[in-house]
Amino acid sequence: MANSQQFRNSTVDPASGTFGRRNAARYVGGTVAGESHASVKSYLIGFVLSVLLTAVPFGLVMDPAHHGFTAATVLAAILVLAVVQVFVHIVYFLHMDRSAEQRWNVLAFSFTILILVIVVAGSVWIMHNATTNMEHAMMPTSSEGFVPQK
Amino acid sequence: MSTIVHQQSQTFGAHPHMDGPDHEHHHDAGGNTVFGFWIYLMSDCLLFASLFAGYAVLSRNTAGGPSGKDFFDLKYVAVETLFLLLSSITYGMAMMGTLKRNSAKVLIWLAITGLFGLGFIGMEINEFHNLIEEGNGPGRSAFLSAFFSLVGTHGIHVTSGLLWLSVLMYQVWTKGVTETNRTRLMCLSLFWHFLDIVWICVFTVVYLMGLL
Repeated sequence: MANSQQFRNSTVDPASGTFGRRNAARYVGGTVAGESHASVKSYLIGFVLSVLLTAVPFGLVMDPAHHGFTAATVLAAILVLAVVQVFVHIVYFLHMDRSAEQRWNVLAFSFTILILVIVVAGSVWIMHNATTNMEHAMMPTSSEGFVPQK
Repeated sequence: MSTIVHQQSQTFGAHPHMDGPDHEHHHDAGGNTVFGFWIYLMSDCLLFASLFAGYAVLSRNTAGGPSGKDFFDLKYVAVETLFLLLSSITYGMAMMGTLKRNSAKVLIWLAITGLFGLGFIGMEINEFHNLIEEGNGPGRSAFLSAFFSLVGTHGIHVTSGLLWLSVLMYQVWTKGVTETNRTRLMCLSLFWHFLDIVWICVFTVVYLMGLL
């Protein structure tokens, strides 16, 4: 009964302004801690994690010696940390999860990520190839890329 | 069971047979509105994806002008990031007020959120102003065109968010935390957190990678 009610209701959790992570827990587990407390906690966890995940990449890049790491390692690190932080925001601020009530939100989001990866990776790949081929043909300086030569 | 129904009617106040006395428009609009807004955000995501793709392709085409290494200031960007992050958590506190239908709490936290947002946008306008003053406006090089488009589009979104926030504060001030206003507060919550997520990508791809 509880589950069917949960399912019939829409995707939204007004409590957090977003999606119903805590509602799912409530109906499955039966007991609830104070509603607002749970969500304040979720915001605080998200905030602390975000500050850490921001401070580390900034610290790595700000230090001229990159704390002893190579530029390639730092590049990989800041990209990975950015992806992790995006997911921290999605989980702790947008409260997205795998519950049935959020199926359509997650589906729309997943499709968006697919298109996003195709657009960004595809553009970079194609234009990188174009630049490489034009360098063979015209030998422009690399800093000019494919800006028309004067 | 009655406890659950009671909690649900609070949580899903917009559901048809659970509308409280304060409902002010047709049934079940809240959930659909927020889901529709989510779809809008996904399309906005694709807008930013194309701007990021453009930036990634053009970022080294400086045409003899300055590159990111010449004018990016990480300490400045760190303060901007902190403002945006703080505004995210203060908006969360405003949503806690929404839950308790506490107009005063909602208004105070929205005001604080607005101040952090203003601080962020002020710093960004200052950065753009200095660049244009030095002759390094968006017309200087492909890199600067892409930079101003990407960072500027995010800035315009934040500005729109601030405008929306002030209108919503007026609506909460005059009508309180009604069902309609709760739906509006939810949509702005999604929008505001979404902008914070876009900013993570901006400071990583533009500023951190630009200085590496």
